[in-house]
Order: sequence, then structure tokens, then C-alpha cells
Amino acid sequence: MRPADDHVGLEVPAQTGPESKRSVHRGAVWFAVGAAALYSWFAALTTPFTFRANVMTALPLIAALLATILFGHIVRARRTNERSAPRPTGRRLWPWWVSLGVVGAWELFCYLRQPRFDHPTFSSLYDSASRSQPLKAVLFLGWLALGWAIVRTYGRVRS
Amino acid sequence: MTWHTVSLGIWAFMALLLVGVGVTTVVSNGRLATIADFGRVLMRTRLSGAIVLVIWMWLGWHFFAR
Repeated sequence: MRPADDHVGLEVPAQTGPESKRSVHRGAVWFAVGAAALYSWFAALTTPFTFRANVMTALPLIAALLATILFGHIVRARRTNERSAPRPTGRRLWPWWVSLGVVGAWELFCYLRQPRFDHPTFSSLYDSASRSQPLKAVLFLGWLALGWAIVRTYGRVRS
Repeated sequence: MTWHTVSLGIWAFMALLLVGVGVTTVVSNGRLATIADFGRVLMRTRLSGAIVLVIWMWLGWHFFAR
């Protein structure tokens, strides 16, 4: 047997480290999205002002608080040898401030006017929409996604 | 036309406004802040970040539990 033949079996390219890590990360993300969607579906089955609704809403709140503390510690520990968090953007922010002001003013106007049927607030629109369970599940999932984005951003904030 | 119809129309306009602003900022080639940039600015300090977190918690409790 020639010496080169000994290595034939070993020359199959193994999966590279970063590629493998990326694949695991992608799998974890899809698992988390699936789990959140399933959770949202069951949360949408609950009725407000009940014990079950309280529990289904409180669990993500507790998880977010714990994740915020944990994330903050991990990021701060990592940052000892790295550069600090990205600085706030220098891009123009006025479209968002104007939008926030307009929507806030309209919400306040509706809140102060009666009857509610003629002047629906965001909450009363949600009450109508939440009668549909799939729509409520989508809104709950959106709330969870927003929470995840907030927790991640909070962890990156400079202390 | 009733107040109810007018109000719903204005709410629909608000939703379109927000979507329009979101799309415009994304295609502005970096001149305007996207919603992610805006979020980062709102959470610039630990205190403002904590306030945003509390608002998120209140929204969830208000809409889904109460």
C-alpha cells in the first residue's frame, strides 16, 4: 500500500467550524420562533381578567426581566476586551418623532372624547380585533418579538 | 358620514403613515434613521432603556391580562 493511500479516508472535507456554528444558530432561531408562535397561540386562547391570562402574560415578563439582567452581565463581561457598544446613530430622527407625536396626539384626542364607539382609542380597536383568536395570537407574537428586540438592545447599552 | 367612520379612517391613515415612514427610512440610503436606529436612540442610557422595557411590560399586561 502506498503511503498516500493511508490518508484517503481522512480527506473527506469535514464541516467547518463557523459553518457548523451558523447552522446550529439558525436552528436555534427557528426553534425559538416556533416555540414563541405556539406559546402565542395558547396565550390567545385565554380571556383577559382571568388567572390563566395573567399567568400566560406574566411568564414572558419574568423571562424578559431575567434575560435583561443576564444579557447585561454577559455583554458587559465580553466588553472588557472589546470596543464599547455602537454609538447612537447620527441619522435624522425627525420622521419618527413627528409620527410618534401625531399618533400620540390622536390617541389622546380619542381618549378624551366620548362616546367610545365614535372615538375609538387604540385599546378599544384592539378589543375588537382580539375577538379573532388568530389575530390575537399574531399580536401576542408581535409583542414577544418587540420584547426580545428591547432586551437585546438593553443588553448592548453602555453602562 | 359618522364620527365612527371618520375615526376609523384616521386610524387607518396613521397605520399607513407609520408603514410609509418605515419604508422611507429604509430606502433613504442612510440619511434617515430606521426604526431600529430610533429604538437604539430611545434606549441610549440604562435609565431610558429601563423605561422602554417597563412600557413594553405595561403594554403586554394592559392588552393581554389586565
